[in-house]
Amino acid sequence: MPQLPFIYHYCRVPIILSASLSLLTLPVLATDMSGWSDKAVCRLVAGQADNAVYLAEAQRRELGCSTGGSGNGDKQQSAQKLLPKNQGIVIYPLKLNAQTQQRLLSKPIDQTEFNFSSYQLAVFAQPITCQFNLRRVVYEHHVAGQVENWNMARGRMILTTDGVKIEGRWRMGGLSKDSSYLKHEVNLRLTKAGHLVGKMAYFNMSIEEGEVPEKPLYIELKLHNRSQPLNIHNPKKAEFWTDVEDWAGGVWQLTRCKEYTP
Amino acid sequence: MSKLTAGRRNLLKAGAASLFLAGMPISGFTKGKPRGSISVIILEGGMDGLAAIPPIGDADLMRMRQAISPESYLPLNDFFGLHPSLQFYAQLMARGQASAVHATAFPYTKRSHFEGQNMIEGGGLSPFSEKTGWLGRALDLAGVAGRSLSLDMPLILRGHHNNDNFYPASIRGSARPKADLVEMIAMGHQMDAAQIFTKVAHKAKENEQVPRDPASLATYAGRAMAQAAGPLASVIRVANFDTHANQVEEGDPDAGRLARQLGVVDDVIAGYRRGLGSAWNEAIILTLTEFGRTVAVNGTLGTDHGYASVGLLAGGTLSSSGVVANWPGLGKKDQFEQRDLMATIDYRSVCAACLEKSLGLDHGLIAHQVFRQPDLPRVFEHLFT
Repeated sequence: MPQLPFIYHYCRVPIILSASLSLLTLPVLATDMSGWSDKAVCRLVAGQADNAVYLAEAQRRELGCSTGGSGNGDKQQSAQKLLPKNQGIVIYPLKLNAQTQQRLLSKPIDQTEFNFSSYQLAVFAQPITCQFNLRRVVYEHHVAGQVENWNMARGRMILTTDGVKIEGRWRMGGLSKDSSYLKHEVNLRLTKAGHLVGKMAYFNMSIEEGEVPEKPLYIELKLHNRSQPLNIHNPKKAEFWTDVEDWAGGVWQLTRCKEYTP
Repeated sequence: MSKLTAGRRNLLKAGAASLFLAGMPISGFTKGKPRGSISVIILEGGMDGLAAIPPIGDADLMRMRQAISPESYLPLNDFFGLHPSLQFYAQLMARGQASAVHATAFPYTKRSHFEGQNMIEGGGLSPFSEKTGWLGRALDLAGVAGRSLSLDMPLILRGHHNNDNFYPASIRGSARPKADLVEMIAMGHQMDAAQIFTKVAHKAKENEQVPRDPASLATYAGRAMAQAAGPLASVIRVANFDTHANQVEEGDPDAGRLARQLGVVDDVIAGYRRGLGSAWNEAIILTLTEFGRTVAVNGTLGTDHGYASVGLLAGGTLSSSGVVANWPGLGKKDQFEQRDLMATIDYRSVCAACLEKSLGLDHGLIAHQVFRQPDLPRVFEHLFT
C-alpha cells in the first residue's frame, strides 16, 4: 500500500475541497432551510424556475412571497392588500364642452395638414412631371427681393390629381439631408389655375458641418402675385413664389414639364 | 486627435440612450407579421400622475397639493383634468385616439428607481428576477426577432436570441455619432468587441442624419414601423421625471420641470403620429414609469417617490377616449402607507391588453409566459372595446 500516501499527497487539496462542498450543499439537498431567512426563501421562490421546494417552504412558513412581501403576518397582509385587484374599474368618458371640442378638432393633427376646400384643384387626365430648382429670395437689401444663384433643393415633381410627389433632395445641410422630409412631409396640390398650394417642411437656413441641426419650418404655399402658373393643358414651365420669413422666401422654378408615364 | 473627446466609457454610456426599435420580421423566420405595432415611452424618474391627469373632482386634491396642481388644466370630464403641457394629447383625446389609466402601477412598492425600472422593463414578479424584458418575450411569442438601435439591448426588449444591436441612439454632447471615432475604437479592439464597434460605425455612417431629440426619434421610429417590413415595436426613454424639487415654478403651477417633461412626452406622441402616418390606425403607444409621487407636496415645491401613477395611451387602435380607473381617493386613509396614491389597477394588465391588441397574442399566454402571472386580470375590454 505504498501508493496511497503518494495519491493522498497530491490529491489532498481537491479531496478536502470536495468534502467541504459536500458538507455545505448537504442542507440544500436535504431541503433543510430552517436557517434561512424568510426573505431568502421568497427570493428563491421568485427567482428560480424550478422552485417547488422553496414554494413548499414558503407555504409552510405562511409567507406571502407572490406579492414581494416576505416578513411577518402584518407585512404579509399589507402586501396582499396592495396587489391591485383590477376590480370595480370605471371608464370616465370624455365630456369636453362643445367649444373646447371644436377648438381641439379644428387644430391640425399633422404639421403638413392643410385645408384645400377653398381652392379649386386641378384634375389631371395624365400626371405631369417637371424638373425643379428651389432658390432663396433674400429681402434684406432689395424690397423686391434678390434671387440667389444657388439651389436650396432640386429634383423632380410629379403632379397628379391626388397630390404632388417630390423626388429630389434638399441641399441645406443638417437635417435637410434626410430624404424623408421631401418624401413624407409634403402636402401640396396644384389648383385649376396652375398654382401650387399646401403645406410642407421647409429648410430656410443652411447648416454647416459641425453646426447644430435645426428642425424645418412648416410653411404654407399660397397664391402669390409674382408666381407664373403652370398651364396644365400645355405644360412647359412655371415659377412659384413663396413667402417664408421676413428676410427670405423662396422661388420654385419648374422646367421641362411634360406628361408623365410611370 | 484633439477631437476625440468621447472615450469608450462615454460611448458605452450613450448606449443607454433614447430609441430602440424591435420586432423586424425576418425572412424564413416570421410566420406572418401581426398587423399592429406597439411603442413604449419609458418615463424615467417616476412621473407624477396626479399632476398629469389631476383628479379635479376629488376634494382632497387641492387640500393636499394646491401649490403644484396645474391651474390651466383641460377638464376632460367632471372628475379628471389634463395637464396643459399635453396639448397634442388633448387633440388626440378629442378624436377618440387617446386614453389614460389612473391609479395604476406595477406591483412594486419599495420606491427605488433602480429596482422599479428593472421591474417595469423586466415584467417579472420581483426586481431582477428576469433576464429578459416583457416586450422582448412578447415579440418572441409572436415569432418576430427584435433589433435595437442601441449599443446595449435594453432589458425591456431582451428576449429572442436573434435580437441584435446596431446603433448608438445618441452620444452625449454630440449632435451626431462620430463614425470615424467609432471606427478607430473598433481598430483598437479585437474579436467580438471589434465586430460590435465596426457595426456601430457602419450604422452611424448610414444614419448620420437621424436627429437625436426624442420627438424626432419618435418620428424616425414611426416611419420605420410604417414600412411593410418595418419593426413592430419601439421604445423611447424620456428622463428627468424625478421631481423632488421645483416640480412647478413658484407662483406658476403650469410651468416648471414637470411641465417641460410632459411637453416632451407630448412631442414624442406627436412625433410617432407624424412618422406612422396611416400605420397610426394599427398602432398603440403607452407610457411606463417606475412609480408615482407622493400625494402631498414637499417643502421644495416637489414630490417624493410614491406608488401609483397614470399610464397614457394613444393610437388609432383605441376605440374611445376617457380615463379608466377604480379611483381609490386621496384621503389619508385611502393612501398607500398614508402618503402615496394607492394602485387599484395592475399596469401589467394594461401592458398585456396592448400586447394582445398589437401582436394578436392570447391573454392567457401573455399572462403566463410574458408576465409570469397566470391569474393576471384582463382589462382589454376597458381599453379597446
